[in-house]
Amino acid sequence: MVDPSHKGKEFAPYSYTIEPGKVREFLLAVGEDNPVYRDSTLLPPTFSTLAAFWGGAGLEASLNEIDVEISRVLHSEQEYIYHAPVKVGDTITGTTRIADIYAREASAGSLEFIEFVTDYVNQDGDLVITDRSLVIVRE
Amino acid sequence: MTLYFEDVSVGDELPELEKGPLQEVDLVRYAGASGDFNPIHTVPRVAQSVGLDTTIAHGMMIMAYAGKMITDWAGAGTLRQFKTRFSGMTKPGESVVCRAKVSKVIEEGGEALVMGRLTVKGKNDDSLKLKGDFTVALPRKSG
Repeated sequence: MVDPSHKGKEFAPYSYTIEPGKVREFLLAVGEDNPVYRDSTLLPPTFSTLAAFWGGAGLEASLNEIDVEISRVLHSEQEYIYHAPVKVGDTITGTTRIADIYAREASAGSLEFIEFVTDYVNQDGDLVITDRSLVIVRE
Repeated sequence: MTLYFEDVSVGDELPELEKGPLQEVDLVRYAGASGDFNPIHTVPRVAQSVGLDTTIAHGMMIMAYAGKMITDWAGAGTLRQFKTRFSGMTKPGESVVCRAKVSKVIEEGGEALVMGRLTVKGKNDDSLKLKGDFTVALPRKSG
């Protein structure tokens, strides 16, 4: 069981500087060969996952804080809202909170859902991306 | 080539994007690049311990493919919103096909917006991997 009292919990903010080498590695890993990402400082749509995993303690540590083991977790939904441009070289700071925790009965047994919402601001303090991530915890 | 708002109509289909067949090492590479080291993506023994028959691809890797389809068509930096629901697992050996269709075109808040719905399915069995929706802001020919 995920303790429902964690709903509303806010994790420590984390910062991530978007390094060109790491972006290049990410582009190669997802087969993103559009030359625009090589020839400009623009970033592909899901790049902020780098900040989520490399910027702070990462998802695994956040899950540990609420006593959930990462291998029991599956990603159910992911949404990004792009408020303002982010480019290579920017430093973004994310603050993640648990927006919801709920259970649902399914054929596979009881499934628990945790909704994480992260707002990222850039080095000027402008809101750039909202990341909403829904995960399933398997019993 | 720039895609303009005036070039887009409801019902238009985006060019399909096919990826795969995925190799085990692609999952390892994505784990290292993204920093998502959940072992169900890379270590068969752990995947089996939670009831899977083998490792499964990161949903975010499949979402990145869908994102590539969108920005190959609309241009980098045009996305305003992008959402996916991960419906099925993708395993090594599978190929996937990303498809999308324009569902709405509106002018709102001074921006020319195009919305669409997308799917990613297994190439061989048509199994649904993810579905989602997106909004891009496009330039107008009139400027």
